[in-house]
Amino acid sequence: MKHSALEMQRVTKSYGSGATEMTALDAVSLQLPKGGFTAIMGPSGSGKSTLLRCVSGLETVNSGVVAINNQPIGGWRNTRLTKFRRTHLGMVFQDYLLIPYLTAEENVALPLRLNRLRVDYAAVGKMLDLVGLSNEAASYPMHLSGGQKQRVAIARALISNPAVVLADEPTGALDTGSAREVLSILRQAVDEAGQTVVMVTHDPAAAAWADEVIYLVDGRIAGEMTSPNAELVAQQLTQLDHFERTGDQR
Amino acid sequence: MTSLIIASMRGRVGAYSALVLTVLLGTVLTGGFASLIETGAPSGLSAADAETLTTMGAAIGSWGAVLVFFTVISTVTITVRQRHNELTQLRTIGATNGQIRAFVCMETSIISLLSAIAGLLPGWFLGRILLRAIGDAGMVDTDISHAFGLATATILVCGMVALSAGATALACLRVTRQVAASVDDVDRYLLPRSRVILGSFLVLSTLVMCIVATVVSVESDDPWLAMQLAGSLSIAASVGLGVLAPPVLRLMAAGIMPTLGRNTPVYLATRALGRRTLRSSAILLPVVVFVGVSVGGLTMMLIHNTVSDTGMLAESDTVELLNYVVVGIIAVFAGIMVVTTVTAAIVDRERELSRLRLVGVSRAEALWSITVESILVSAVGALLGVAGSLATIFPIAIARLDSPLTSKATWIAAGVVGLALILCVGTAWIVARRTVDRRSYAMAT
Repeated sequence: MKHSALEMQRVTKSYGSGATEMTALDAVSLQLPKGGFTAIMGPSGSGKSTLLRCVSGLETVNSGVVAINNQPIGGWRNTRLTKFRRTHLGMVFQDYLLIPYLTAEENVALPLRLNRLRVDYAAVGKMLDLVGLSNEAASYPMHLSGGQKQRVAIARALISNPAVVLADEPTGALDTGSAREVLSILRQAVDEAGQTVVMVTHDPAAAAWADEVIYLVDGRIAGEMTSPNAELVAQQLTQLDHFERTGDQR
Repeated sequence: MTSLIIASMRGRVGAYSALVLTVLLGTVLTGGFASLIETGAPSGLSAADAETLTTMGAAIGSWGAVLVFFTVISTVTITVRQRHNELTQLRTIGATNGQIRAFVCMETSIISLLSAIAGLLPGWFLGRILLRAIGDAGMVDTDISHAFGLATATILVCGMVALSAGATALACLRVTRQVAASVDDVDRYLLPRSRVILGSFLVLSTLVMCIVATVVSVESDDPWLAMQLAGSLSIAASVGLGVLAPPVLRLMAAGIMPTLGRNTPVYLATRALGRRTLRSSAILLPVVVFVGVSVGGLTMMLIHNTVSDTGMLAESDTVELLNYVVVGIIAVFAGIMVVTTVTAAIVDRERELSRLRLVGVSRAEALWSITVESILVSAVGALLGVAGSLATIFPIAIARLDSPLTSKATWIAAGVVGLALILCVGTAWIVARRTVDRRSYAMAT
């Protein structure tokens, strides 16, 4: 078997039942190699956030297999899943989700602590330096700007050297300048440390930082694009819109 | 605005349950004792009977009223703080600060009005039971008819509504001035100046009263004097100590940090406690008051009964029983307040708990961090409560016994502290168990 950082095999996820049943993911299969930066795009309600939640084990899938580092994660008990998540996955969210009563440094060190590892403050300091926040190590989240908070959140996701970093709209709440900083840090993590990053976004400019863009429409993969640039991504998106409408008429 | 209020209240039945319970029980408690004052008012009664009823109603009722006062304020503050986001949104769509204040005040007023009215009947019933007990104890004539008129009821209900509306207005002021706690807040300062002033005033004045009561009752021949002077000092002392408690709490958290710091739940609990002490100390006040009032009251009764048994005071067993009933009612009320405050405080932390779960803290670790925190808070609360109870115990013990403290009193203190810990930690555990299961992203922002 080829070694992949993240693999989905015919994953289906639906909500509700009977007449109100809504299929968010419809037999989605994909395979992402190690060390790639993948963006997942699609219109609202296309299932991109559901995909990320299923991959991270925050949602259980109805059928199909999700595997991280060739290790299937289905059917596990809550605690086992949590422990797997914190050793193998790094999570970045649109709203940062920093722990308010921990300083930037402590937030970054938290995954190490959770994994019962000795907290290597030199490594934490290096990570803060990498995201350009060595001067804010002792600051609480309330004293940081949105962009700074997101950079702390990325440092927290990277510190335990996870198999995959999953980012859900990481630039969704940021101005263009801060967004660019955040994206270049993710890009750098892929290029220099061989990190695998999967990012859900609706912003073509953000998707253009990735190596590959996967388009999702109505819970299905509708297309892919390698070496994207913002104009091509946006153009493709408008065509997806068209695709979606013809799909409705069918 | 009326339709907005109705719609908002419909969707908020659960969130308001703590306030409903607080106001309802508060009305029952104060109503029961207020009816004793009213019963003692008619001119047909003998002077002695009238005085007994009025003293009992006013002296003990006012203890209860102070308790009710602080718990209503604390419950309202938490209820409004939970709505911080919603109220900020109202501002962004163009509601003025005044409109928001009016809207929320109207809502809490209606809730309080209904809850207080619902509390009148059980309050009337409590008054009847108390009057019967006092009559059976031979302290007043048994054929006095119990009175609970429209005037008393109106004063009670209006008082409750005014109290909640006032507390809401204050809490809203913080939201509209943007100084209200957001989910990211850590303490900017250890203790607001208003709390330092209020707490120091209460603690210092009880200290002075305590010394005066001791000196006066040792010199006096009146066996009741010490109880009359010092009986209610423990509540003022407890409230004062509770108000000043955050620095003690922080010191405690700082002391635990280095010793047990590697364990995840302890690490999280001590960090949260040490850096958001003001928030965590909302639970502290009812615990201090519960312990202070219960230990103070029960020990006072114990000393009183011990002295009665030696024949210094001739009194029936029913009086003893009545004494325990009165202390019991206040203690039970304070206990319920501990439960509602702990519940509200943990529900308030829902978002933060979802965040912890999302970044990989396991269910058990999140649950334990809340439990460890509540153990620390209730331990500090119990300690301060016992200290507060000394304001009542000390003068009476000096005046009425040869030794200042008996071993039985130690058992009472241990029992009450144990009960407070079980109530606080037990509630925290049960509520947190439900809360930590919510791990959805929507809850965390």
